[in-house]
Amino acid sequence: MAEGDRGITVDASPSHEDLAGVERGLGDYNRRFIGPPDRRPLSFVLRDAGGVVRGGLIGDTARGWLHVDELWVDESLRGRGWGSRLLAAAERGARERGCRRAYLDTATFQAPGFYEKHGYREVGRIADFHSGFDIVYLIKSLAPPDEPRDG
Amino acid sequence: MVELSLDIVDDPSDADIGLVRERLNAYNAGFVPDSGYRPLAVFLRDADGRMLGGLVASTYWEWLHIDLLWVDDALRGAGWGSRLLAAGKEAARARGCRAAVLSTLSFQAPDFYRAHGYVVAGEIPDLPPGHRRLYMTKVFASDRDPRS
Repeated sequence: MAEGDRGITVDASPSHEDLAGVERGLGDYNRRFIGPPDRRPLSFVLRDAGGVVRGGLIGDTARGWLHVDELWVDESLRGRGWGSRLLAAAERGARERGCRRAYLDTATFQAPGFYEKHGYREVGRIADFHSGFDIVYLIKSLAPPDEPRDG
Repeated sequence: MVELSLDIVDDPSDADIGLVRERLNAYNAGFVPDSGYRPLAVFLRDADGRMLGGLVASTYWEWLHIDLLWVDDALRGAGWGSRLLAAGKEAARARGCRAAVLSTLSFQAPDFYRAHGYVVAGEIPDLPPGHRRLYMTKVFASDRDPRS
């Protein structure tokens, strides 16, 4: 086929179908190196007695790693350990699935100190990402004390 | 004080996930300007419209965030990945972006990105097991810089 038969188009509102086409292509490539995907969502919600969501952690597990995507606690409930409990629930859930490590990224105006207090350590940083804040990449070993800690 | 319970949801509803994301965004908005999130994709298709490659990304906080870059096996090594990346960069610059960030795995394309001026900002060993995950960034050169 002549090169001129192919075309590149920029799309500011790509369809699910087109996005899925790229995901499928890259997925097939990845499969040759690491086998089929095993990603499963792992999320927790904090509800009050009225059923209102007042906090939550959105994450997933894949290939022995927990990934924390979002962690939020309602401002009126901050400082009472709910964030720690959400994180502990995710780590416990991940261990039950056989995960031994966790990774996430956060911004310096968010929670790097919180994660470091919970045993996460920095493995990368983008300084002055925007408006003076940095993006920080963190990891943690979830192995119990009697297992080698390699995270 | 309102009584709270930690409700463990293994398969959370889209509504709950959406609410958590929305509230975290609202929290962020107290510290930084609106991120200006917009999707951005670049597709490579043949004359019949068949998908042969693509770059899936978004722009926010004046950065191009590249999620996926893929080129069909049959077309590898012919510069299509570079063209997809360049088209994404140009579109991002038109939106006011000044840099790009992505993560790639050690068996994917770190050398490709290095060749295009990306540098490693962080690295996670053994993610996935036996490989590495690399976070890479590139600050776009000014218009006058011929390397841009």
